[in-house]
Amino acid sequence: MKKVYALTIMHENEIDFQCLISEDGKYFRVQKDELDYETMINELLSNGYTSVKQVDTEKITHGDYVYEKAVYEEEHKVFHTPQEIYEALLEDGFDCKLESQDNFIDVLEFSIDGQDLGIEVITATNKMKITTAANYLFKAANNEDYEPVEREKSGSYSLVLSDTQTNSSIKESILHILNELKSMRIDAEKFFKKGHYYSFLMSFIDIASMRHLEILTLKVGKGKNDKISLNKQQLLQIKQAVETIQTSKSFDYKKTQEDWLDAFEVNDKQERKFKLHSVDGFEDDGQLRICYVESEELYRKIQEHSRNVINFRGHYISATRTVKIESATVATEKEE
Amino acid sequence: MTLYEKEYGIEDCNDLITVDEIKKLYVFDKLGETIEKVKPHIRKDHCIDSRCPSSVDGYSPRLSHNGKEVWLDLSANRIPSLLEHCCIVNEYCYTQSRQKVVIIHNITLKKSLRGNKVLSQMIQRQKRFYKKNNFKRIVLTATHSGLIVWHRLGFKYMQKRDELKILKNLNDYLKEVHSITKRYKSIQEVEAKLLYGDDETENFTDWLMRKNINYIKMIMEL
Repeated sequence: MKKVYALTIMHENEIDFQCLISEDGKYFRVQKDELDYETMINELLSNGYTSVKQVDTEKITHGDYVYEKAVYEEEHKVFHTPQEIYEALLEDGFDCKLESQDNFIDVLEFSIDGQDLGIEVITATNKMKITTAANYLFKAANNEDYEPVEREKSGSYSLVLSDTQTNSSIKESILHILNELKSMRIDAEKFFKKGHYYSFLMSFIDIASMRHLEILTLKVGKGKNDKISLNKQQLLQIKQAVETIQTSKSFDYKKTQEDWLDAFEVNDKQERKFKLHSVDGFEDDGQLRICYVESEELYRKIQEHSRNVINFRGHYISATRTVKIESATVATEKEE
Repeated sequence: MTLYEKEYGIEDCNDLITVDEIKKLYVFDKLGETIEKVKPHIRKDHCIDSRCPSSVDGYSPRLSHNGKEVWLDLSANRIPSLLEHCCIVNEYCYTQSRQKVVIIHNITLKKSLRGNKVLSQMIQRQKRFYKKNNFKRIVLTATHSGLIVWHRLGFKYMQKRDELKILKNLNDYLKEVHSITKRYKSIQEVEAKLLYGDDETENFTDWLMRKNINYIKMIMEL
């Protein structure tokens, strides 16, 4: 098996480019590319690089006219290995790193357990479901279209994603998404952007309906709090929560000063609910609409400005006839 | 393999381009008023290859000693100093795959003509002209002072490594010299005025020189 290296180019401590290159330079896969470095790597590996230097000047005289023509010499270098490319980039002043895959760290272990989910017997379809969900989770946490290195583990089917040490902080973001999910908190705003977060949730709920699945374990590290286990029941609840969000309608409403908010009662405070006059375009026009807020901070803000003009944004969930408020901008503020 | 493979030994200059055609290129009737005053003055030269057309109105394009360059001196008043001239030195050649290529060796504008988009007009004109004459590309080796100018005139860096190196230096320069933290993802995005220096600040081309970034191959596909 050929050794693999990760070549990373940084800009201001952010990863600008990362690719995996085999030790013989024959294969490479781009994981992240902000500036089309891929073309450069391709050129270096396929064509090499020609540097030019002026070695002389040729003086051409005709009558009263003298022209000095530069004489250039070209030096051509062919690149075969990640090390050679890395050295060339260092020479050009790029902030770059070259890490052997041996030094990569595991950032996510995605395991399923159940009767026919062992590595020897698992179907290709189920494997694909795990791969898709794991990769989208990685991308959602990374907020980039950048793919990790994968490997399978024996026993009950496990897919391990690893990445360079440079990007080790991704573990915290993965854990955050998973903890939120376990608590049935879905970021509707992100969900409706239909990016990696959306793709992750859609592929994740696909796992919930996998036959014979008993338990799903997601591990980002060795610590006690670095592991999340979800049983079939919890997975189905998450599926339902995602489907509820999916069927909700976008809610964008400007409350005037004449409108009023009420029911900031003790009970409501616990559930962070309040009532808002109905808005056109929803099925039960003319009724008071129940709104709820997940963040305490946002709830307090709405309470404080209940007499002001507020722009509400969120989603109307028809199943519960409630509005999930995701943002509230008081008229005097600039919208975030 | 070099960046542009050229095959020397032109059998017939007419096959590449004729003097009549070249003369058309350098009649600046459609350019601005300033340049209109500069009449093409194609120097008579005894070095001309006997197989090439000999003269047009008493003047000939000058072919260099190796018979591969057409050299036109477009100075209005023939002041001997190079910088006071409007001088264009182009080489015409074939690639190994028999494609016609123009190599710009030198374009020097009279000081009075600079800064009026004259160079830009000249390049646009050359582009149209060479394309019409079945040339496939124009290539040149840019020194540090021309690395941005040629790019703005439509030339591309022949190798991606050079382009990314210049872009990286451009961002470094803007941050260090002008305290601009915005990340530019292309050279075209940067306003030209940001590349100038003054009495206290270094300009970008000097920065490139100091970083030893010089002699970069550039290309314009026609």
